[in-house]
Amino acid sequence: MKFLLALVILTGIAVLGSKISFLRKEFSLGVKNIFFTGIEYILIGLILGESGIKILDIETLPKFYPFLVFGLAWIGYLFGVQFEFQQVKKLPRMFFSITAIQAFVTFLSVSIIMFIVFRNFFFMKFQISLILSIFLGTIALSTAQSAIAIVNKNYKFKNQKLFDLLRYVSGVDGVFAIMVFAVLLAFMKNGNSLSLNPALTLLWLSISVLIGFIPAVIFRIMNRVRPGIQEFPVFLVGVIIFTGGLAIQLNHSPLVCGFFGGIIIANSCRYRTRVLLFLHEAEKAIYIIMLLILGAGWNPDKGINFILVLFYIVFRLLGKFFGNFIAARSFRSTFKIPSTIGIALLSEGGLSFGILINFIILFPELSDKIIYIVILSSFINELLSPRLILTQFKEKEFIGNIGGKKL
Amino acid sequence: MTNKLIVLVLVILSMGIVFFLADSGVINNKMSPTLIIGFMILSSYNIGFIGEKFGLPRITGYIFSGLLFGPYLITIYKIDTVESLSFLNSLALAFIAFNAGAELRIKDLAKEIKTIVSLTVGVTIFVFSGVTLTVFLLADLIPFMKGSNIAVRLGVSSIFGVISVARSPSSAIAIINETRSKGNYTNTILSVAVIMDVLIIILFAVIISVCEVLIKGKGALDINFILFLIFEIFMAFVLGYFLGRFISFLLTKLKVEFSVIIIALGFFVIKFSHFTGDHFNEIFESSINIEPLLICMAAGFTVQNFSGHGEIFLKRMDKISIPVYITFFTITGASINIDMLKAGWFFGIVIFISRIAMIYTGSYFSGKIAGSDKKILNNSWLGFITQAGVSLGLLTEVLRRFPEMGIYIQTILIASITLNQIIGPVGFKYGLTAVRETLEMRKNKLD
Repeated sequence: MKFLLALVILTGIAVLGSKISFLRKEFSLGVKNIFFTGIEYILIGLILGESGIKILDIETLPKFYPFLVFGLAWIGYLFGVQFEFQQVKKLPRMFFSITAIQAFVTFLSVSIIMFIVFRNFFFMKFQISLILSIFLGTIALSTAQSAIAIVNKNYKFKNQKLFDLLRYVSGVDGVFAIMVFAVLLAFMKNGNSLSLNPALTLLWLSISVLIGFIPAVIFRIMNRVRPGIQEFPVFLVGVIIFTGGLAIQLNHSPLVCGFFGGIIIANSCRYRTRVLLFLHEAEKAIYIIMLLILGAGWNPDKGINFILVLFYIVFRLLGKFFGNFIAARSFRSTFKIPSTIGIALLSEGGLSFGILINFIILFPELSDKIIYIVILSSFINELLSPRLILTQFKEKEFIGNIGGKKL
Repeated sequence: MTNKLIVLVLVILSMGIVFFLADSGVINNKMSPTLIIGFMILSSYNIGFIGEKFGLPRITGYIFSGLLFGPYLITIYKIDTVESLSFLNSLALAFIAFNAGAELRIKDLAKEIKTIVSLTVGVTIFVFSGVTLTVFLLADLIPFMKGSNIAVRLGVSSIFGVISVARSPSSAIAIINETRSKGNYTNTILSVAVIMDVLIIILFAVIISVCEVLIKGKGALDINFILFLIFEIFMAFVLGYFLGRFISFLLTKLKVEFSVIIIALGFFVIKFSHFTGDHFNEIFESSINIEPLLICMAAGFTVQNFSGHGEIFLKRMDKISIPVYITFFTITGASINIDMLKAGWFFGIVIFISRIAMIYTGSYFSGKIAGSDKKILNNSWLGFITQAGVSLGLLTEVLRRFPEMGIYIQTILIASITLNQIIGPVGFKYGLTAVRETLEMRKNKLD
């Protein structure tokens, strides 16, 4: 009965949530961004979960894991299918270099500091500290597009190219996050420790690619003859479920394998746009359910250390700042790039939650130590992001929605 | 078709590797439900498609796929996997019930009312008495009935008779959807199948009560019990009406999410019905079982006939029908117990033949009496062969009431039901094609 109740509640919230938009409400942009990222669903999940009213308790929660696997593969495909190489090539190479540098510096900054903190202040084991710090570095390097999208809806900028750069960086650095996550998992294949065997790691990565490759090829073959309106979703959903299932059965990441599958579809299937539209259509509802489950699985009673959260936020900010500072100084640009542009890339939600959920599924025993860092830091980053983006643009015009408020 | 074969090979190969790794102890031996569902969708769809190229209905392909990969042959779907996926079956069944109810239009029913009533009554009488008589006459050859007195023989034979009356509206609706059939024949067959789904519950309750008296030699026919049953059916219709009204409201508010909501609603109805049943049992020590599928059918019927949103409802349901049918019929196929089929095959075939003969005779005479047109007269029997979930559900009740004999009855009837399940859809598709009511035939007619 509890499962039924939980199912009804999750479905109801997901359907309502996917229809409700706070973008036209009278909130500051920061609050709107929090709603846009969906952090409130983590809190609702927390209330529904073991720490709250226990509808999604420890016994009920695992029954939803197959859905999480499916959802992660869905997000992976959604991300991957946007990488059509022909299109990516058309974008300025400088944009890619800036993205790579800022991602690398942020990753290093967060990973190194968090490792030092875990080892020296929390006396965690070497291997655990290493895994958790690399994982946090991975999460830190990705930027969500939500804050940029919200600012874009409310302001018009003279330096549009700078805005395009922000959009590009926030769109592409997720790829680096997925790749680093894949490498981390490849090293972690033995469970709670890292094993530095390049051959085995390469093998693991190849298997991940293969798990994405086979279903994507299946999808391509099934679509050789134009599929009907009824059949197309069956093929796509079938392939996504199969990818997720293969990945989880072989102890791989549904997100990573889905991502590889998406890339293959993007570059080999003529129905790429149809796939993208279909994936977008249900994305929000799937994402909401995943956040609700994430919230329900979070147990704050196991301890929250605000110092760790603070360290993470500060060093992510510094990483983003210096990464972009170095990148901006390294290339000549036809438009003005402020040296502080990095602070406009703080928005964190979206993909980072996906990576977090994937980590929880694969390594539940390790996740208690970092889950709150990601959730709380996201909350703060989402709140600050729009304001920080606006500081980068001197000439701007408010075109906000009726009822919208300036900051 | 080559494409589908390649896909099938790739999917099976992938699963083969996973099972090999699991057997070697490299990965977890317990298969992930996500993987099983993904495999089910891809493999069954393609097998159904290949079957279609040979003139078979897709659902036969899905059933075959379930049987092939099920617990008795290739064992990709193990018994516990099939059990753990049974909730998907409930979801699908509720969806099919909504659909079946919505396919019944009062104006179409009114047009064919004479034929529908005549076929329902006629086929029921013929099948029940024919199969009962067959088993009664063969009683000395059936090991567990050998040497029993006339009352017991009559009781057991009636159980065979009443279960043979049950049909499968789910298969009928799936084939109608697949072939996009329309016309008098389609409406008549579907209407009879749905009405029989309601009547069989009452008929079974009456017959099983009589059988208890005959077989166990104690008790008496409890009229209150029958009245209670009629009350339960009435309640199902009332709840279904309100649910239908609610769905009509949702249809105006929801778009893409409607498919998710309708499946969730179906699941909710099923669980709600089981919950209230258990609750009444615990608190009042009386059993109230409001049949969930009747609620769903009544809801679909309400949307179609009392809301003005019937066609939109069917259109939206149609969009997600393929995965629902794949899941339902694959699990149905995987649930076929081949061990029982082997054990009861001989008498199973006898009952299968006798049932088909009675369906043919009953529908022919009923059609004659009602003055049906020739195409219904000659082909209606083809639509009444399929048996599935309802019959198996009734068998479970037989087993509960007669634990000693029940297992033998179950063995034989499962063999017969399996044959009906495999042959029935093929027969119905043939019937729809013969009367030229499938989309393909209608197009040919126009050309």
